[in-house]
Amino acid sequence: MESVKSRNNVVVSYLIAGGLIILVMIIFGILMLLSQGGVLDLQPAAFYQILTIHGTGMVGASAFAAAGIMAYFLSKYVDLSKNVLMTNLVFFLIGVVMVIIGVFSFEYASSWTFLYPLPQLSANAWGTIGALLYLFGMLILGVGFLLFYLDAGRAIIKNYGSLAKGLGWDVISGKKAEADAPSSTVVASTMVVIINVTALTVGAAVLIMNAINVINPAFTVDPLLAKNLTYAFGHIFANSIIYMGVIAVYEVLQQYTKRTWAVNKVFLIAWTMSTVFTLLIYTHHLLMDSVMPTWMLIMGQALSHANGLPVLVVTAYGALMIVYKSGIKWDVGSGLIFMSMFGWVAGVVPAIVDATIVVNQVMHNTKWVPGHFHMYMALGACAMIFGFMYYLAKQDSSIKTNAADKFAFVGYAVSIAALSGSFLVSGVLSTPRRWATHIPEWMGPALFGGVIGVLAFISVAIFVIHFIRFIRIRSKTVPGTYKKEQLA
Amino acid sequence: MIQTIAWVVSLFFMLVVTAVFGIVALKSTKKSDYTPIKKKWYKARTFYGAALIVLLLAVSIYTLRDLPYNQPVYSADEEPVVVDVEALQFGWEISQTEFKVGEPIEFHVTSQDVNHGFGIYDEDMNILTQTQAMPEYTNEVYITFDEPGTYEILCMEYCGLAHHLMTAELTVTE
Amino acid sequence: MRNFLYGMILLAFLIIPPVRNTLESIMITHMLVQIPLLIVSGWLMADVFQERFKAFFTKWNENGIAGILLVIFITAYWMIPLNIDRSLEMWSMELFKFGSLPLLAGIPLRDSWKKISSLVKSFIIFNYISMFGLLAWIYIEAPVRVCNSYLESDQEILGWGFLVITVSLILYMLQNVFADQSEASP
Repeated sequence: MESVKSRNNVVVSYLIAGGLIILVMIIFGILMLLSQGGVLDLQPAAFYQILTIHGTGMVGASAFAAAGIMAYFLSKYVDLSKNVLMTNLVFFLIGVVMVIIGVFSFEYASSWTFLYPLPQLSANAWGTIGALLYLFGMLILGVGFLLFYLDAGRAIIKNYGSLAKGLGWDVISGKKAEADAPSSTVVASTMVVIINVTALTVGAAVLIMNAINVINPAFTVDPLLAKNLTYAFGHIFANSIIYMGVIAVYEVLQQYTKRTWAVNKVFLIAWTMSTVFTLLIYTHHLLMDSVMPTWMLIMGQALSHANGLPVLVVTAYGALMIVYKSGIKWDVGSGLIFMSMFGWVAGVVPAIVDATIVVNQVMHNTKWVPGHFHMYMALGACAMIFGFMYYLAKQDSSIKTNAADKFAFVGYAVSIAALSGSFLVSGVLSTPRRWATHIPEWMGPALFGGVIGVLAFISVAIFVIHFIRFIRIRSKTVPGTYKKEQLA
Repeated sequence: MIQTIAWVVSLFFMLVVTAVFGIVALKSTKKSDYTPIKKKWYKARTFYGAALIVLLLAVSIYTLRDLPYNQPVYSADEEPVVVDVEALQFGWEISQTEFKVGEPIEFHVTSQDVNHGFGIYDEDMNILTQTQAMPEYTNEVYITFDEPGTYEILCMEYCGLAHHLMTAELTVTE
Repeated sequence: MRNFLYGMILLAFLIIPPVRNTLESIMITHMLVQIPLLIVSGWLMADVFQERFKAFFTKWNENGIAGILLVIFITAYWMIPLNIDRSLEMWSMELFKFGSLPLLAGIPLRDSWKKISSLVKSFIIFNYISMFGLLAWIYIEAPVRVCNSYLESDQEILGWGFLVITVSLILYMLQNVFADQSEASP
């Protein structure tokens, strides 16, 4: 008999690490909002350290958990290296520890965008050690992720011939029948491999540039080049989370509705469009830099608008179609998965609005922006992650959901929608983002967000507890057959 | 003004999305054959997709006609007031802070140290326009004040621990 | 055996004083012609060594990782401006350059490249992409002369040279992952 301990838990570790970090990050989010709302007195230094950790932690943890989703489903089609997955886990944990020490012990607070030359020029708020711990921590995290995507790319090329075929270009061109197209999981994974290998290579370069500048300030970077590189890295990497998470939507909804999500030409063209747009639209973060070439900024707006099409016309529409009159039996997992598509589409609306240059002029760096991405990331990407956690638990054990889980589902939906709404209202009130204190006119929505954030915390805590319960049940009984290559 | 339009438009479309997802969720538990559903809704998608493309194109073109980057066209007897702005941790050096209603102003904005943001707020603390203040580059922003009063400059890009204290005032008189 | 001969001839050619002086008189030819050619000479000579010291290579470089790490260290060492300077000033450093690049980079490169997995290969290539990109930036933007022996303008030309290499590597990787590999090697 296979011993229980030897069962491969790598995907489960990704999810529990991601889930726990997200939970802690929500606390930091609540603290910041309460402080802005005027009921909590955080020192500016503490506020901006928390801001840095909250952003870094949320993006890192959800990207990590989403990579777990991708690994879980992609390994059904190609052979992923388990060693690489373990390496990524180890690098992730080392990176997280370095970032935490850099921020809290050495008071590093550049926000997660570490916009050059802020890591070096902190007005004496933090020193070289803090900055280097943070920058190299991020670099180590990045190397782990890079290995993961390179391995995924290698595996896809081995099975399908090339990344072009992984995206189904031979089907688009008509050389191959639609029936032989790669599965949605493979298409999405190929897209993520392309965009994230690019993002991480760029990110590594800009992190090292910053590190060199911190060590020897005589070495300078063109600030506009650094800004472009930083946002290219940050935008693409943060964006990739939802494109990994959506793999769970494809797979889970197909199983639950017992319908097939057809991979046809329109589907493949949409994913190719997403690949190209995601690589190019980061310039919408630079719309308020008039020194940028105007054509790049116009492209930033036009392509950001166009980037709404693949999800609005293909992915979300497909999700609605597959669920419509399917006789699906809802549970917490599939509910979260379905809701995630709602969060994605709803979150795209304020994004498209903000990517419009004339709107950006008054919305850029206001709280409208976190309004958009809390909806898009928390109600979209994170709902995919939590939904997948419930799905996996149901697949792998006899665990039952209870009333608390149902409460958490509703609580999560309500609290995140309300939180995002409060951010959007703040944006309409011209509240600048990343401000430690607010004038009285701005405090209301912040306070409301902080209070409703508690409900979000309780809900996510229930999600995580359910997953821990699952892990404990699973370690006692191992249902199903055990395979060495199995990832979860 | 723009904020209100943005908010109403976003709210409208988000409510539409909510309604669509809600209806589909309500109708999801009924069971019916997938093939006719696919046929019908793929057909509908062609129209929906086309309509969406047209809508987005129209919005894009309409909103790209007049960009804030373009220097306004001044009439022959009109000379813009050019103001040099330099941001630094944590304050503003502004070459001129008193203006007249109706005179066109060009702010030439740069920074001594890190990235900052130059946001102009009116008396009700509504943001009117902004640009980035970054080292080695000069961004330009154009504005003509219509109302007298005290306007505030707020930092719009995180620049360090006193980011939220980085403010300045402009006075506009008749 | 024939490769070995070519390698020896190439190495000998590079050692000839006029060739050596010419190549070293310009920064970009020093770093982007002489140094790569030294590695190539070692790469060409490798099979004789592999034959001769078979046991050594199998024992110490079984999976290729040790060898490729050595290659990275040696090449990184010779990308540092200070070491380039020293090789021009001290005969011992010059000797080390002519020894280390063929023997400790060229030979292990050939021995390792076949042994390492495609994942490690692509990781190494992406590693060099960011490394060369950074070098391009350092040499183009450096506020001071990083090498005493060369002018700042030389430095900048070298920087653009590195940028060309970076772009070429990116293009190579792009065609590599997008060109079909299933039909080429069924």
